[in-house]
Amino acid sequence: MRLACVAAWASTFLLLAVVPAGAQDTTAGATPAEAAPTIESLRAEIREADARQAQEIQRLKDEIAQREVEASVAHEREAAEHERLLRVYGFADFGIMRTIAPKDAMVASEFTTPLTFYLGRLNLYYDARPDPDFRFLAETRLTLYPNGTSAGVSSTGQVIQTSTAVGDISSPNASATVTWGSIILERAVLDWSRYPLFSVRAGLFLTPFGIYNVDHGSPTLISMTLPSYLSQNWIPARQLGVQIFGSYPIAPWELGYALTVSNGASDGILDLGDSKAYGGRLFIRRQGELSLTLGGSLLYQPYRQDKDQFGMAADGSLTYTVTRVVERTGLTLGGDLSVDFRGFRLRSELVMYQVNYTAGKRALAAQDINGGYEPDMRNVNWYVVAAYRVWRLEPYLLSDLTKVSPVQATLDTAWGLGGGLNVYLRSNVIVKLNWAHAMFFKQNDPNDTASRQNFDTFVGMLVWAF
Amino acid sequence: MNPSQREVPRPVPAATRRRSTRARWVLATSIVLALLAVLGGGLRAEAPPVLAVIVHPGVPATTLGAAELASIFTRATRSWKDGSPIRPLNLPPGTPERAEFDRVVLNMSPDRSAQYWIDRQVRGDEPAPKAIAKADIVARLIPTLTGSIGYVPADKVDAKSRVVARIRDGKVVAP
Repeated sequence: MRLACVAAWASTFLLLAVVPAGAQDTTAGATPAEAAPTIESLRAEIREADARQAQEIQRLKDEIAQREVEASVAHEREAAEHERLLRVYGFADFGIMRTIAPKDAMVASEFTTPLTFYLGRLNLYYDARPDPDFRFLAETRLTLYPNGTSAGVSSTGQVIQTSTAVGDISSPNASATVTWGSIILERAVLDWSRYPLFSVRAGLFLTPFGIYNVDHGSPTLISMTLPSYLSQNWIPARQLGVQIFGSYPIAPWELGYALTVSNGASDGILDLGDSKAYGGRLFIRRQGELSLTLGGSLLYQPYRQDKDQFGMAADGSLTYTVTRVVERTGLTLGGDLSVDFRGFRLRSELVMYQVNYTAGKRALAAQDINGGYEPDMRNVNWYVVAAYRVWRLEPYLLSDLTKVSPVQATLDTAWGLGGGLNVYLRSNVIVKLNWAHAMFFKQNDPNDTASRQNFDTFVGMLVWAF
Repeated sequence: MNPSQREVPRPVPAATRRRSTRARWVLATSIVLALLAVLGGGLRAEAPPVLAVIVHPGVPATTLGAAELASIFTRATRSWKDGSPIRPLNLPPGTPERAEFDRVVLNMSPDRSAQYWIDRQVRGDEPAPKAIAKADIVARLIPTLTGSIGYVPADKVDAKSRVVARIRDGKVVAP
């Protein structure tokens, strides 16, 4: 019996061992058509895998985009919060110029230039707002001056050129030379601007007079021809002192003002003559497609020049005397109009300059070789520049008329006529072409000496703001 | 060369001359148009976007009109009513949203706007509001930046910001 059981188990084991695996499945009851992977089923699986992968890729892309936005937001938030710590921006121009010589020898020596390239302005602004109520702004102009400028006339009549060439002693080449340039401080001010209606500015600021002196930069000016009242220094371009300014909106208009007290027309950087200058400006303007500004400016600038003299008293002690040698008052009044409408731009200023000397304290006439003295004077300058921009081209015309009273020895009227074309390659990159013809007149001038000073200037420049 | 073989200029038929003249005109016109496209940066004729002007939720303002927006975005108004500083955020020049905002709120074309900010920069006035590269970033940034104000396409506004004005059909309207 026991033997029979063992035999039965053994036969069963052998039977199971020889039956193939597929037969086992068959015995389990599954059909071959349902279980076997077909091409279609495999394709479906691949499609599902592709879809899952695409979803995963899209999810990762979305996550990356999300993270990038978050990073950008964090970056921009930090930049916005610290935006006003220090910003550096500016403008520059580079050009080519030719001045055709006048016949008058004295003027020719001053104004004649051959066709020459030049580096005009490279002005950098340093703008910081360390506190919401305070703003610091400095503007510097980097120049190659005084290299190449006229340094006067020698005793033999030769015009002397300034040279700043020095040996480059830090160079391994012993014969190397460099020419040094200079930095002009255009302005350096600290503003307290808690209230738009009442802000205070201290430091070296551009004189808030008229249009041109504040616009002052080649990207903003229509024409680079300097108005006579500025070229003749009827106002100082910049002053060292304090300015109160503000504006009040009366939509769409804005009413603004500026009041200044400064060292004025002093020699050097200190008010050595104790003659403060007082100025003011009042304007009303509107912004928009029609921008309009009407303004009036005033600057009262007394000027005193003292002669300091050391000497020896009768008892042998040292003496120090101060003698006033020049004393005058200067008053500059101006009105200005600025219009921008679509492509049209108009800038115009009318300026009057009056100088009165104290008796016996007149200055020596700068251009009088006979040793005469400056007279009291009342001069008037009026200029207008009109431009119209079509597409990227802005042609313009200008006129600058100056009447001098009393009649100077060489002229009583100066008239500058000119025109040009501004080509806007980009909004901040401009090619400027400028021509100006200066004419001089004098009444009762049988020899026509005034017109001998006439000259022409051609300027082409590339301007960019950054 | 035999003189008899010399080519004699044949009279050009009138039709050929007309075709030649037309071809020159087509060529010249094509060159001019190509120059215009290159210099002009292409012409676009897109519908102006609908914009929402949004502020940080802590800003003490619920609605702002066109004049107030203009004053803020020209930096004439620099602080909110509670004295906190205003942080205006712009979109970059050249975007449709910036062009629409400048046109409707500041009443300036893109060229005029560019010149306006360059002039202010040269004169030493307050510079232009900070330009953020994308409207998405503006929409996300404003809820996190105290005192901020900006504008985005209306469909990008979320609940974290407060809408104080909308710019639609060339007008500033209440939110």
